[in-house]
Amino acid sequence: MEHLLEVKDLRTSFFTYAGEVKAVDGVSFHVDQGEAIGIVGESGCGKSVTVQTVMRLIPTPPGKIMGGSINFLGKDIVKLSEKEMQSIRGKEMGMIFQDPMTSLNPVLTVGLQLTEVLKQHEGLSGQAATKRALELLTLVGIPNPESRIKQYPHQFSGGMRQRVMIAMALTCSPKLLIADEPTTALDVTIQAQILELMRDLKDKINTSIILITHDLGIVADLCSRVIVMYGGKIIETGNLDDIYYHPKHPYTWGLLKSIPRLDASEKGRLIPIPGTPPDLLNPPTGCRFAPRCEHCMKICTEQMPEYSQINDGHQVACWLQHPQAPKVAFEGRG
Amino acid sequence: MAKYLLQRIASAVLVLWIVVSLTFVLMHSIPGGPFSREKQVPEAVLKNLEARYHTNDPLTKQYIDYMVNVAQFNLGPTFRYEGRTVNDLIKDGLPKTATIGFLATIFALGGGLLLGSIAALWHNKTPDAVATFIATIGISVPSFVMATFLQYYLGYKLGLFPPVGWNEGAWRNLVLPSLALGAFPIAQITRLMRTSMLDVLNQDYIRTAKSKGLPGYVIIGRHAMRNALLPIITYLGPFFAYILTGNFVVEFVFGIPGIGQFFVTSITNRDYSTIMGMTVLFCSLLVVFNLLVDIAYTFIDPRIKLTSQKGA
Amino acid sequence: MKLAQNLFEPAISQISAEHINRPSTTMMQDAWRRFTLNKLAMAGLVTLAGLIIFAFIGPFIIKYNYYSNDLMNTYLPPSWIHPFGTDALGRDSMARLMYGGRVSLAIGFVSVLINLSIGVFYGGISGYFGGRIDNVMMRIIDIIYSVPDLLYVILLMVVMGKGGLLNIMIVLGIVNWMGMARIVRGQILALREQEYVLAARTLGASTARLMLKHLIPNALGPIIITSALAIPSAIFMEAFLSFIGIGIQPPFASWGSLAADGRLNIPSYPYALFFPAAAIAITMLAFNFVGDGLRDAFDPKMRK
Repeated sequence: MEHLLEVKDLRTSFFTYAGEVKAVDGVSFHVDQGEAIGIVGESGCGKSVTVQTVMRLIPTPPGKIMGGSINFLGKDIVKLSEKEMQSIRGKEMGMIFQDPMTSLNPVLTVGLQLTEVLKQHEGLSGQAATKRALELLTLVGIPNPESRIKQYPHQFSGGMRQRVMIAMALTCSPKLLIADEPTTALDVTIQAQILELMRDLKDKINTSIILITHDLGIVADLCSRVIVMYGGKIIETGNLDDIYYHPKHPYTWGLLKSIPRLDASEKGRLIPIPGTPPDLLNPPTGCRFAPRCEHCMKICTEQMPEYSQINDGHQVACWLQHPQAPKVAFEGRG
Repeated sequence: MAKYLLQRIASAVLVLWIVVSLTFVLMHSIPGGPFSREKQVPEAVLKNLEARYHTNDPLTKQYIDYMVNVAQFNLGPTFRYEGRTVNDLIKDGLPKTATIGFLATIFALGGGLLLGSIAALWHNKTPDAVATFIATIGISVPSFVMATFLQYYLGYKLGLFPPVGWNEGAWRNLVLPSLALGAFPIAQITRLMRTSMLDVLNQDYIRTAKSKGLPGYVIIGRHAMRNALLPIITYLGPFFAYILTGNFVVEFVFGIPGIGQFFVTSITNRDYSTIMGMTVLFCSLLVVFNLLVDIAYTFIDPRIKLTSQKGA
Repeated sequence: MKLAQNLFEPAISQISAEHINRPSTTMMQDAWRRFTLNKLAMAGLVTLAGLIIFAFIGPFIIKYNYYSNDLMNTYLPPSWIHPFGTDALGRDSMARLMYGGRVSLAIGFVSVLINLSIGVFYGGISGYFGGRIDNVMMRIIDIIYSVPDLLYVILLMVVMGKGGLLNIMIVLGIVNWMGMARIVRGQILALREQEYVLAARTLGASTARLMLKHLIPNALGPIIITSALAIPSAIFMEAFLSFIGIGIQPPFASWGSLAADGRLNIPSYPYALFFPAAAIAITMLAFNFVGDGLRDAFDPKMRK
């Protein structure tokens, strides 16, 4: 069965006055129809740039797609013209962003920001468009849509605004919804609501979802597969069971250990991952995580690790997987 | 809304009153009266003039009289032009000044918005450099230099437009003064629009609009423009003040008999009745205009609330 | 794939994970560095230096003065003897331009200095004390602000009688301080909430000391920028006043009065207008570049 989205060896760089920043350096993954996957990693690891490249939203100076392919619905996105992209964006692919306050236009009504998508892609206008817009608002759980539709973004609360964003992205029932840290800017209780909403919608409309977050805690709620990124590369990928119970990469261990737990002992301290993310202007040779890894070996600083297949669907890029490497076990969570 | 309006109007009236009073005080602190510039005037005539113009009444009486008159839109007689009141001068001159001011506004706003947008959309490329260069020249060259320059080159040397005169408002006579007046604001607006548009184009909501598959012209025209215009509207207040005072120079250089020219000559003639009258006029116009700009702002930016509205 | 076994020994990480990337600099050093990199701004600075030398040192070099009439030689076009020609009374135009330059530039600098003093004082107090005092002081400014400064300047000049160097400086100084006051106040309001102010106060610093040693030095950036941009504005106003006849009176000259004189004979002798007008325009252009450069140099968002 063909994948809905297949990304192969994608490379995106930014050309700044200081040099070339290799934000995404050889990323490959796929998404199937109807499934939700999560992309997890620290700020600056390239997860946002990856999905924005999929949507071709990266500003082309200073950004540039250096190589690779993105196959979506039988076409290679990397090769499409801007006009062709415009017919895909908003229609087959939708995106919701991190900060709903700044991501909605403050001087336009919410209604207009919804109906313009309908007008653009489905040719609806006037009453027909308004009717659809009202349906969408109801779908995402906004009460009193008739009065809300004429209001402006600043008149909504944070959670409501994010719902509006979701409505906007789902206007044309796209096959793929990309959610770039949709809950980071929201309260924890609202987070849960939004995630539940997304889960419902996925089931109702059968949209595939890519959820980007730095929080492993919320991935389990919604996704069936997880991709862990670091320093512009994918370092581990697998399904929920693989990642949460049998993780193989020291960085994934670090992420799991740093999640605060309710049942942790009171005297225990939170365990962060020491060090800072790599400078993508001058990335280190060898594994990008080596400087911060407590199991770092000589080979780690010299050569980039290859991908090892642990089992069907579970891959990791780490020298610890090499038969000659010492056996290290994950000590389990804190 | 009504409450806000009333507050602003009250505030405006207060400002006007203070300014007029200040002007009154200033004018009456000039040593020598309005007639001291004349050649020696015989005693009797002087007495007559003084009686006629009430210049010997106690200061407070003059003040109150004047205030009462102003409230009735009567700005008093001029000291210079026998038999004509300041109101007459205004009636004569205001339409001419307004025409040039209006043309200059269209030129500055239209040109400025266009140039500024072009500069932002082609940021760091040639159109940007050209527009920025023109803008920098425009704000650096003082208006009277620009006016005399235009007058010399386009008027005298190339003979394209008449270098002086109003000529009953023939359109050829309007070109040079309007250009000269609009030179500085067009530059200012270009710069403002460029910065504002650049800022807006970097905002998240533009990225959202793009992610919805909207074509470029919709993004610019609907999403970017309205947001970019906001700082420009804030500028309209000082802009109007500039048009008002800039007219002094332009009318002076091009020989247009508008209120600007009357004001300037009344200064050289120490015709303090006219000076006061003109000042009252200018300040009233300014205050009214600023009020209108404030009100317009609330219509354009829905985030500004005049009355409290229920949020989420 | 078999690799050398020693490659799998543990390695001490060579790269220090937490090094800080760039050396730190003080704000002034950083701003100066950025300013000097800005070509336009440096060009402006050099031009200004040239103009200042022209105006203040030139008269010592040139052999003409600005007031000797030579009615045999009026309105001469530019030549080697008189590089800028002569004026209506046969005076050397270059000399007049130099002396005029002294006047215009001096007025620009001094009046801004006055602006600065009043503005910093007023704004400092308003910003520091905040609350009601601030409200009242700002309202006063708002009221004064609603009238265009040109109007004030004209009115005050009329009151003061004849124009003159001192009068003009004073008038320009006291009319333009409000913008500076607003900016200083804004800065102080923001700065006084910073922790080092609290720290200093707990150590017992007096108000004056706080203001002078802590708050104002940190507000220096916008103050410098505003001053730099205020100078061309002052020069312009003086030129304008002289242009309409209530500024510098003959036989003294300023660039504005020279331009006004030159206007009278444009068709037949454009040089009398051209040189002073060019001088004004170049000065303002240079100041604008410098001002823009300063603004960019102090703007934290543009750090490289």
